[in-house]
Amino acid sequence: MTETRRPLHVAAFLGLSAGAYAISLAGVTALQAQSEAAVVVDRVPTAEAIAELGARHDALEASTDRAAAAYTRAAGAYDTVGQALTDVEAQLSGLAEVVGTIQGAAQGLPSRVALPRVSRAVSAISAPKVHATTAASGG
Amino acid sequence: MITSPADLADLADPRIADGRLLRFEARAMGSPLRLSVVLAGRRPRDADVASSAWLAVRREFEASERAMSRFIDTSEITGLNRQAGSGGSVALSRRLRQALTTSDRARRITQGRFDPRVLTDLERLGDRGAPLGVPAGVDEPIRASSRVVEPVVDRRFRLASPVDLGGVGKGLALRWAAASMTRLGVDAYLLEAGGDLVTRGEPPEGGPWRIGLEDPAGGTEPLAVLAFGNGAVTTSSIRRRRWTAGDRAVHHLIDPRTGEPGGAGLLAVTVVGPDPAWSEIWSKTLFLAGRTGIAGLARRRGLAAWWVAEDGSLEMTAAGRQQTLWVAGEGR
Repeated sequence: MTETRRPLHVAAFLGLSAGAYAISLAGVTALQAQSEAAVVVDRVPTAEAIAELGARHDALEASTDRAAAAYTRAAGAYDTVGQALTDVEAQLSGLAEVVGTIQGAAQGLPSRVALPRVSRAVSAISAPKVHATTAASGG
Repeated sequence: MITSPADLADLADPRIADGRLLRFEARAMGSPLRLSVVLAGRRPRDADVASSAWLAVRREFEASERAMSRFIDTSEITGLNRQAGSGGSVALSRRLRQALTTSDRARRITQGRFDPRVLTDLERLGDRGAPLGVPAGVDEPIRASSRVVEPVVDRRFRLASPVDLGGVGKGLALRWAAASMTRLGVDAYLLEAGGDLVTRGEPPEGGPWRIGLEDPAGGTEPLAVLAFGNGAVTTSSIRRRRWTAGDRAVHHLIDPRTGEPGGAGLLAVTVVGPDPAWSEIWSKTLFLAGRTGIAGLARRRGLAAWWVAEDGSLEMTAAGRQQTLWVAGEGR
């Protein structure tokens, strides 16, 4: 009877091969993960810059809106001032007419006017009666 | 027993004005001393009380003069000044003790602007009192931080430098005399000692007492009229006590920080306050601040003050304006 012998060395070889493969696979996987992490780290500043750019764009847009609103208000005020200036011009025209009338009246006044005589004596307001006087000592 | 105002003639020679004001006059501390008492009615009892008040005032001023006058050879202060700097101590009366401690407080509060240790300077300039002999030792220059008077033991005190208590002494005499009258029940009067005054109550016609501000240039009309009820008014002025020392004009208001006459640019300063001694302290302190410093100091302290500059102009604080009834040239 022939005894069937198990090829133990084959099994051992297969085991070692499988182990070597697993180690190689793990190494490759680790290298790949390391590479991807480096890529992610490299991209962080770029992502932050993009986010900041977006925020600035929003602020710029808000400023533009405010400037537009201010411009609208200024335009309204300018219209009001323009109307007021028109009114002032009209009043100045009226004043010029009044001045012209006064000038005409002034030319008709005499060059000298006799004033009534006034007394030169002016009564000074004297001090109220006092009960005592505060003064330098030694009197 | 006094039974009518006429009986007072032998006692104090009073004069009755407008039936309700009883006036007395004498001299004390080298100046006129005047008392005007408002009588509540025409009863002899009122005149009796007024006479008693006048006697109390006279007694108070005589006692104050004996304690604080540097012109009296036998006064307490002359004796103490003769001991100044020797280390010897003297037992002091209540009045002199209070005058010295008040002066010391004033020195601290005014940061040395008020300091009675100017007697040596006054004597050097020719304003002489009772002879002191050769000073045993004088604290020269006066240290602003050092005390005016040093307590020793058993109410004994010593001085490092001789002191002049003229102004504050008169203010204290007015304070004590006013207290005596209050104790006697006199509640409406005007007491005047050499241009410094205390008023209480109302004058006979009602309203406030009206006090004129002397023109330090010698004019007969007042520069202003002040009006107040209870109060004290004092004036520090160089109108009277000025003289020539060598070839220069000097006066009696000595700046303790320099030992020389102070108050550059000013002729007179008046202060109204509740107490005559402190009004006197402040009028002198303000005078020594000179024209450039007086307004700031008076306003910082909230004082009712008036001052006349060398050019004759009158200025006052806001508190002073409130008690001013009339100002020459303003017609108010």
